[in-house]
Amino acid sequence: MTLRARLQVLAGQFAVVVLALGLLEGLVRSRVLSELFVAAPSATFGAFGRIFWKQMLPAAATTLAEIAAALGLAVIFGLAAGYVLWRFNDLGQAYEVLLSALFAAPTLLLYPIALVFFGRTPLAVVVLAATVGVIPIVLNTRSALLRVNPVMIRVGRSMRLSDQRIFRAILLPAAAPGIFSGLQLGLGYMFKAVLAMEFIVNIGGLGKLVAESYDLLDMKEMYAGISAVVVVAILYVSCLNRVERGLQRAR
Amino acid sequence: MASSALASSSLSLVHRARRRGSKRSNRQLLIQLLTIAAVLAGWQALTVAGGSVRELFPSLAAIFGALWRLLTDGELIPHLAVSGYEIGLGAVLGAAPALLFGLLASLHPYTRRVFQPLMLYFSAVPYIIIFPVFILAFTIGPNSKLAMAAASAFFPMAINTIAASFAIRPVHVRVGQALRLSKCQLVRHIYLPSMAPGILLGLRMAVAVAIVGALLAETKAARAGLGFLVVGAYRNLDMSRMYALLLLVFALAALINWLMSLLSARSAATRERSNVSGFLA
Repeated sequence: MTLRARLQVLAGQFAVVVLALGLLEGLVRSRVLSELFVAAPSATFGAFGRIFWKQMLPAAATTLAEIAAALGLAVIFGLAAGYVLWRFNDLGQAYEVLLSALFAAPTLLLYPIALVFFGRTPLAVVVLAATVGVIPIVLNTRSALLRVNPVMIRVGRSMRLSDQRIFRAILLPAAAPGIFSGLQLGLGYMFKAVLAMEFIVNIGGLGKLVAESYDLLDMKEMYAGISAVVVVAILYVSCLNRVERGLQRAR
Repeated sequence: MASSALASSSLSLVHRARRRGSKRSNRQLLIQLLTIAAVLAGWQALTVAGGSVRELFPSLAAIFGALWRLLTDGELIPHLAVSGYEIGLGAVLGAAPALLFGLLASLHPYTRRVFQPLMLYFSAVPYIIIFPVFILAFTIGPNSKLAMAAASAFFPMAINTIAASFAIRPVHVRVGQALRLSKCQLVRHIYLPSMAPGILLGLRMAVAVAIVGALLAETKAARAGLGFLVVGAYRNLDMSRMYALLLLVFALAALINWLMSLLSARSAATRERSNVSGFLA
C-alpha cells in the first residue's frame, strides 16, 4: 500500500471513530439516551483524566502483572507440553483430540473452581487465565514442530549435532512462526480471561475498577474504566501486529 | 481463528486415522482412556485423602448423584429455557446485523480496509466488561444477557464475514459484471456463495462466544439460567452440585459446537460438489 492510500485508510478510521463518539455525545445531550446508564464521551474523558493517576494506572499495572504471570506459566507449560507431544507421536495424537475438545469448550466458565482452590485472590485469576491460554500454545507448538521439514533434522543428524543443538539451531527457528501464532492466540484468550474474571469476582485491576464503579453507579468512572480496557486492547493488537510484521521482515 | 484451527486439525485427524492401521489408533484410544481414568482416580484419591479440604472435593458418586438429581427432578427445565432463549435469540440478533455490516463493508476495497482493522481491535476487548451497561438498560432479567450474547456474537461474525470476502475471486466478479448483473444479483450469486464457508465459520464462532458471554453474565447478575445455578451452588458451597452443573454446561456446549460443525462441514461438501459440476460444465 502506498503512503497516500494508508493515510486515506487512517483518515477513514479516524472519521468512523469520531462520528461514533459524536453520535453518542449527541444522543446523551439530547436526552435520547439517559445519562443514568450512558455517560457522554466528554464526561467519560473528564473522569478518565481525574482517576488516571490515582486509580487507573495502578489498576492497569495489576492487570498487566496478572497477564504477564499467566503468560509466563502458559508459555513454560505450553512449550514443554507441545515439545513432549511432538516427540512422542502416539501421545501427541491421543492428546490432540482431548485438547481440541477442551479448546472448544467454554473453559472460562470454570472460574468458580479456580475460586474454590485459590480463594478470591489474584492467584486464582492467574491460574485460570493460564489454563485457558495454555491450550492453543500446546496445540500450535506441536503442529509447528510437526511441520518442520524432516530433511533439515536429518542434515543436523548427519552433522552429528547433539539433540539439544538440533532443538536450538534447527527446530526452534523453523517452528518459530507457528509457535508465535499459538502465543498470539493464547495471549488473546488470557487477556480476556483476566479481565473477565477481575470484573465478575471483583478482584485485581481494571476489571475490578469497572465492577466497583458500577456498584456505586458512577457512570462516568465506569465508562472511563471501560474505555481504559478498550485502549489496552487496541494497544495490545497494534503491538502484536508490529511484532508480526517485524518477524515477517526478518524471515 | 480458534475454531478454524480446530476444524482443520480435527479434519486432518480423521484423514490420518483412516489412513493409518487400527493398531496405532487403538494405542491412542488406550492412552486417552488411561488419561481419563487417571484423572478420575486422582480425584477419588483427593476425596479420600482430602482431610480438612474434603468438602471441596466431593466424591465422584456424589457428583454423579447430583447430576442425576438435576436431570430428573425437572428443576433444570426453566433455567435451560432461559439460557437457551438468551443464547439462541442473542446469537441471531448479534450475527444478523454483523453479516449485513460485513457484507456492506466488503463491497468496496476501501471500506474493507477501513473496517477490518477496527473490527479486529474491538474483537480483542473482553466483551463482558460492557455488561453493566446492559443491566442498566435492560434490567437484571434475561434481556440483559440476551444483549450480552448479541454483543459477543457481533464481532466474530463481522470479522469472519469481512475475511470471507477475500475468498471471492475477482474473475468471478468480472464475469458477473460482464453479464451485467445488478449489485444485488452480484451479492446473491457471486459474493454469498464464495463467502459461505467463511460466513458459516463466523456463525460457529459467534454461537460459541454467545454461550460464554451469556453464561458468564448470568454468573454476575441474574435470577435464572445455568450460569446463575452454577454460581448459586458455589455460594452455598454445594460442590457436588456445582461440578455436576459445570459438567452439564460443558456437555451442552460440546453438543452445540458439534451441531454447528456438522452444518459447516455439510455446506463445504455441497460447495465442493457444485465446484466440480461447474468445472465439468
